[in-house]
Amino acid sequence: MRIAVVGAGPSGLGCAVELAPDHQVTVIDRLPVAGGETGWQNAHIKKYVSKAHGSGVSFELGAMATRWDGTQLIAVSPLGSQKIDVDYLFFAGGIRPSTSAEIELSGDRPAGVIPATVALHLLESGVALWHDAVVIGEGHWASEIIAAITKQGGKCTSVITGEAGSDSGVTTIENAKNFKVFGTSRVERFECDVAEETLKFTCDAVILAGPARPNRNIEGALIDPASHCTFVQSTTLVDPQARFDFGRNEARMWAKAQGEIR
Amino acid sequence: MPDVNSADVLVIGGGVLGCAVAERLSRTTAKVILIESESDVAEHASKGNAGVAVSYYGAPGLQQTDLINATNPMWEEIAGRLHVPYRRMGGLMVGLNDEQAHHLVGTLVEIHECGVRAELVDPHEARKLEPLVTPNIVQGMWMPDEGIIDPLRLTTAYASLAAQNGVVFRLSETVTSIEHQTHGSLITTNRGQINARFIVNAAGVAAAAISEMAGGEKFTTVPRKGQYVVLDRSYAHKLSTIVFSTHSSTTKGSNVVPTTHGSALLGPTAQDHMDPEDKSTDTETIEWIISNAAKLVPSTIDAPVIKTFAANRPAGDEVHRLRIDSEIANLLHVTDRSAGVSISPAAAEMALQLLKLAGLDVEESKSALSVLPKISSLRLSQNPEELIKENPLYGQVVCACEFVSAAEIQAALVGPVSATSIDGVRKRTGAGYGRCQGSLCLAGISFLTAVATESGPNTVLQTARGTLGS
Repeated sequence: MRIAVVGAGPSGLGCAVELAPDHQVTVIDRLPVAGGETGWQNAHIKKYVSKAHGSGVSFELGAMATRWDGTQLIAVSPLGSQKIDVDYLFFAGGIRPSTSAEIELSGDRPAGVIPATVALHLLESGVALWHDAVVIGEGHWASEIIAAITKQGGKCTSVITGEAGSDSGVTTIENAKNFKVFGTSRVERFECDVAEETLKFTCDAVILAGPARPNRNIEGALIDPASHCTFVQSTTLVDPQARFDFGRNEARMWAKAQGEIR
Repeated sequence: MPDVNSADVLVIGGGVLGCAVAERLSRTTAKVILIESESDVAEHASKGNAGVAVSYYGAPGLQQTDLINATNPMWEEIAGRLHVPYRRMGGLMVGLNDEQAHHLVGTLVEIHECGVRAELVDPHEARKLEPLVTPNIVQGMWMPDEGIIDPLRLTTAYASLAAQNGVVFRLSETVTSIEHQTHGSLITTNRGQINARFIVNAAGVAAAAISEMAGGEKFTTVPRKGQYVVLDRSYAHKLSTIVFSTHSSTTKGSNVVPTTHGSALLGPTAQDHMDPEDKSTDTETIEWIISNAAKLVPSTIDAPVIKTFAANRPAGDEVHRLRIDSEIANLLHVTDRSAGVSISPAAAEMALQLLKLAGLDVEESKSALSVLPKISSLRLSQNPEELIKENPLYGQVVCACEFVSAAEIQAALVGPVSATSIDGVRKRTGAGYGRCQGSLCLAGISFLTAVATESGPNTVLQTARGTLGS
């Protein structure tokens, strides 16, 4: 079978490596290098990529898959648009933090409410975004943000819905719910409820680092997920090896369901 | 250099009505300035509304009704001219019990008196028109001329065409006083003074304050907050029509409205309050909207919610006000509580006629553009290859949920009345509208916006008022 894998992060590479011996596999990624959020310089990624090359996987990097109709994938890049004819699609488009609506953040809509992925990207580029931030959520994005803030010397309050597993090194509000943000131009205040009490914080940014959700971003695959398409987007695994193994396993299960047990 | 400090007409307010009036006037020989207190047009009620281009809103004989009737048949032409997404998809009003069914019969009589197409449909027919409508429907009413439109694109398109035809847009400028002189008025703002022969008061929730400042009629404008819930395209594409709740004597009710972007809106609510700055959402109301929508379309209850928002429409003692002030002869009021989008082209035409009657001696311009140059959309394009060949930036997808390319974002940032913020880019291109709400693309958009607005990555505006960094 001709198979397209969208996403050259660890999960996508796992799928590709698993499928390559029996199928003609093409990996497509919007970035010009493999690795996705894990980064192309990561040692794991380098290993997976050489494994994929070794087993005959071909790569179309720097092209964004935009449309899938069950038989054809459209990918665009500044060089042009490609129609890739394949029989099946594995979508490993990665994950993102929950949005304001998904964590039921109510109140005003000021500037300064920033998804953790965006904040990390900007922080890495040396852009200072706040003096005193509230970080909502637990998990790897929250830890990375808190680490970055601590390193820069800014103030930060961590707000989580559960109980803290370990000491994050900053003020942590546990068992919080009913998140509210206030501010007419930029974030001025954050509130949440703990037990019967409403806690109020002055802050100048709210970082959304809530539970991971899948990025789903191919037109046809979004509208008809049942059409020759498997989504490979773990919202719980973080470690590259675990995500690679997850991708392999998803591909193996699919192959098994196809009656192709090797 | 044009003299920007004097004008035949000063339009106060860059919402849908102010921009529509400016666009109409821009096709005459009038010299026009528009001022807006925010840093962008299409803020407030023109940003936060359901995007329904209605065929029916109020009683027969009202000026508002006449303007809706004059506008409705023109939508395809206007949308084509301004490249604004519009679809005449029809609306189904749903009666859930005998009382509502009875009310629908009365509404039908009124709609027909307005000269608008509508017919009663039984539950079976209703479910054929919208298979997702509740099985509890007792009586339906089908309104084929209801349409959906992108209200942000409509407003920015009016503004863009007006600017190309020479209207001067002055943003982030607030009126502080209005003084009447022999030939017109002297308007003082936080940034300077403008001599204008005529003033158009299209200030929305600030209309009462502007009228008072001008020594005009005393009226009250009350912010009426509407909260909305946005549902993801993965659900919304299944909807076939707009689904309205039966109007009651006090409210038009909360509805299920597909959008031109493929998402769907639930709402609005109607809460009168005091503070026009209060655009907050609250969990209780959001939950009410969701449960109320499920009474109309049960499957909405499980649909992914990608966003909630609120805005204030200008309510008050008059629902609609389009006339010369009774005290001040050169002051024209152009406000409407809920039907601003739906009346905008006809209201703009009428505004021109009223200004002419009041002494504005202008002719149609021979050189003005009436068609906006088109900016193609990668997502809607059937032939991306062609677009990319023309401009390689079309192949650079920035917003991965809505497939908005760098070419479209650049166009939004450099055109007339261009985006000045990340939110301004969203309003013009849809970048960030999708299910991830910017968690993938916001950094990229912020860099492009920062470069175009000559700000830095932390001083770039995220919204019309607030910066991304602190």
